[in-house]
Amino acid sequence: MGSDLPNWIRPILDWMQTTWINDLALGPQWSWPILETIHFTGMCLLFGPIIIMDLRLMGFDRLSLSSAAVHKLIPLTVAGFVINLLTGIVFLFGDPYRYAMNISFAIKFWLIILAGINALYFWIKATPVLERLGPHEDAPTSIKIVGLSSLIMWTLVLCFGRLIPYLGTG
Amino acid sequence: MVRVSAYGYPIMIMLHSLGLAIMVGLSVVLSLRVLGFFSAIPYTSLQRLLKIAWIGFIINFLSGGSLFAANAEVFIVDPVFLTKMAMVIIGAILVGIMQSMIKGAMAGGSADVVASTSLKVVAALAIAAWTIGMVTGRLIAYL
Repeated sequence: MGSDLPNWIRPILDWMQTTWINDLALGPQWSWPILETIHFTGMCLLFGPIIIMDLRLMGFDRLSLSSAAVHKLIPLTVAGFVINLLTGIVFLFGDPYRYAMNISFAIKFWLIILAGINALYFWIKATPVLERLGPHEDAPTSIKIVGLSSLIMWTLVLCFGRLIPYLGTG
Repeated sequence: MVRVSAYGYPIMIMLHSLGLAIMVGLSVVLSLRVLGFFSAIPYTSLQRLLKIAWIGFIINFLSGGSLFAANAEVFIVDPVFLTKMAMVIIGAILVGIMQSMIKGAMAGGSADVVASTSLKVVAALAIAAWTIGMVTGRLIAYL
């Protein structure tokens, strides 16, 4: 199994299969389906606020919706992200060879990294600019692009995540 | 269509997850707003965002219809699927009721006052219906 994998990764994947996290994912028959439902719950908690925050950043409804109001949604989206990071890690430990060889998972993984860099850029570069604006003022185009990129990236993360069972399964 | 194409089924499944995240993700946030969280979001914005939520519902009505048609004889007797469908219909009706109640409150000039108890009950039930609908929907593949 996994003939295309580089040699250095095999001991890591083998070790992952010996951990208690692997037992948690594969132990009882119902644990994987339950983890899936939790992963979907996290997805909704992550994605709902992302839609609102990114659309607002692009100027959606800016005259009645203040930027401070949508900022309050950050803890909800972070909660969704943490839920999905944790359940996602359990999936990885549960079936490490499958994910190591899966193209859709690889794309999803790098998209999450990109979305993270985008969020970091927003935090460091865009936040000071936004703070100088009034609560209902339109953001410059360069910052609207950050919002649009975020929305596109998270949409693709979701899509490629769901395609893991169908795309490039070794 | 889903049955004959190798790509059809995964694409419909993918769209169904996207529509779920849009409809349920937004409905839950906006229901929480009605329940008193994120109160800086005004009702006018709430109404506009709920319209976007329905885009997710339409995506799922179409992708779900396609997934159902590919395996109708199995789904129609599956109690998990039937529970999920009941919850989706209830959830959608509750969001519709929530929208018209907010519209009524706004017309009465009370756009940003605290939500009435009945509106809060509708919002709480909507969260419950969507949660059960999502969980049972995901479990169709396993049970």
